[in-house]
Amino acid sequence: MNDRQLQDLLRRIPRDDAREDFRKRVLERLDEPAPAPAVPVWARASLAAAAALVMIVLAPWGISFWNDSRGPSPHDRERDRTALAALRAERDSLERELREIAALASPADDGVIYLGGNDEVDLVFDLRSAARLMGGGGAHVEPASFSKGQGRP
Amino acid sequence: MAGGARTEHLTETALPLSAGAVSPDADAALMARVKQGDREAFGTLVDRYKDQIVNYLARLTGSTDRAHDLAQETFLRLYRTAGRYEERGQLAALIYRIATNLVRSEERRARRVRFFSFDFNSHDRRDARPGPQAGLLRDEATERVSEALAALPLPFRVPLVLHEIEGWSVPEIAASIEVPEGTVKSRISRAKDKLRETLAPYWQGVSR
Repeated sequence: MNDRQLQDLLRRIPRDDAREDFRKRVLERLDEPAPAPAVPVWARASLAAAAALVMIVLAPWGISFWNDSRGPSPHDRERDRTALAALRAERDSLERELREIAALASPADDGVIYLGGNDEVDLVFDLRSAARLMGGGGAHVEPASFSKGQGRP
Repeated sequence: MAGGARTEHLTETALPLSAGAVSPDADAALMARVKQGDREAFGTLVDRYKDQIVNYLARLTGSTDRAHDLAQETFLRLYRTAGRYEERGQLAALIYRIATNLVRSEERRARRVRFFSFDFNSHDRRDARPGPQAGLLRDEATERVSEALAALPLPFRVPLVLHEIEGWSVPEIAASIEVPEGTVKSRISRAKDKLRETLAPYWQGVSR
């Protein structure tokens, strides 16, 4: 089929003219409310993407919130009770040990500061002696203890 | 527009943009009145373009009934947007553009419906009821050409119908559908190739 033959075929298609009442029908419809403008495809696609994003972000939070609002299960509650009892027992034990240590501490031990030392000598600072000495004029510090075999200077 | 080689068929029935039968000045005066709400002037415009638009839409859709529905909608849209109309002597091009956009929207909608309904066999939307011109469509050749034409993709169908049936020139088509002239020529050529391909089996049978 050449170009001319195709053109002839196209031009042999009979024309469709408007019907008699076409103008009347159009004029009758002039007062119809205009249809709402269609939302463009790109806008619909953007809206769908945004909705999907919101769902992705909110879904884990929603599931977590829903689980929290349901409260702990009986199993979780029992486990928490056991852990709490263990913590209380530990606290009681520590308080008891603290009281025992306090009872062991001698009043004579009060007012002594350990300043350090080595294998041969420990240096302590006796605050009561210091106070006494300060009252008597001139600070005097002496080692409070010595290792074995060491005499007082 | 329609050059000297244009057939009698076209010079009698089609009213190309630059044809003397439709004066841009007269269109401008009518549109100025339509903008003021003059329905009589609008009726005159409808009378002036209704046959062209109905025929154009019938060729695009392959359905006389759809063509009438879409033609009515075309004129309603023209009326509703008349307030924003700027006179550039291109009223006919505007009306054809509105009509083309309506067909494009309808076909997109139909594609979406087919996609969502998974009904891939309902591609033929042409109604089975015969239109007013059914008597003239008895000729099998024209019927097949009409069907093959309506089945072309819209970007190829529009320039082919405007050029070969409505008698528009390539520059006028390019201005109306807002694509370069080279693209218009290319699409017309490819549309013809597709038509030849579709009609070849039938044509070989007829020409034997």
